[in-house]
Amino acid sequence: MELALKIGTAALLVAMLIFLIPQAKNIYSNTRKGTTSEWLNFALITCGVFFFILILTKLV
Amino acid sequence: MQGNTITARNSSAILATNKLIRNTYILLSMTLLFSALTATLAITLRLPPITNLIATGGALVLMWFVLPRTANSSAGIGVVFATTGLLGLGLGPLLSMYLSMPNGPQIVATALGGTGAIFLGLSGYALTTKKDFSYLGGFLFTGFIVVLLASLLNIFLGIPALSLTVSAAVIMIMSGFLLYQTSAMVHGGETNYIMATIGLYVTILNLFTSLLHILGFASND
Repeated sequence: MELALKIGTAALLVAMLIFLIPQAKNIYSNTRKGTTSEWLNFALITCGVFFFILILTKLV
Repeated sequence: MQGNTITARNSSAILATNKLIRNTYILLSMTLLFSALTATLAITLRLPPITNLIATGGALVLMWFVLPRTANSSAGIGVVFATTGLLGLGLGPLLSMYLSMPNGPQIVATALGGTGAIFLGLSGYALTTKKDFSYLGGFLFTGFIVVLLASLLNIFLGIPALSLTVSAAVIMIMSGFLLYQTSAMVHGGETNYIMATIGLYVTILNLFTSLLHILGFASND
């Protein structure tokens, strides 16, 4: 049963990869490039989320 | 005269954006409530873990093949409810597993509150600042592909540290997707509220399950 669950999950992930890789390629080639300040802004937001998760782990 | 025409066009674009945002959040809250109902049903009926796999597979088929064909009609709303209902049903066995842990209810409640706070914080930030996050698209999709490959590898390797790293990466990527999708609604990258709803719903679901995994791991010391 556990092996069947693993194989089923793997099949689902492979299907997701087959479906998403062409879309990802398309989006990657058509996305505008961000400026340094835009990436810095995103990095700061990500740091904020990271520290928030860290606080949550201390609560449980 | 030309100035008046431009102003009229601008105000109609703002009205369309506001309508899109309002419809998206109304539909999103309704689908979240509906999936909470189906998840409760799955917990009550004690459905086996295989339910998650079957329900997710069914939801993906609806999302990939049916929703794009119905998104511009009222039938799309029914498809969104069917998809989110199935995803909620699949979440049931996972929630049952966490709830059976010694401090399970606290873990689930913290994950739920944390997901809500991240969603409100990031969506609120993208909506109020009106910054354009479209540059994140390529990075986020590539990151998600890498995460899927790592998950696939870890199904057979079963390394807990890799599983935890994948969950942490999913949280960061989904946070980026929240900014990307909200910004797309504001800047006209997304004009269909049904597609916007399903995108935000899947992002919230991934955020919640990954947070649940990290908190479950953290509470086990």
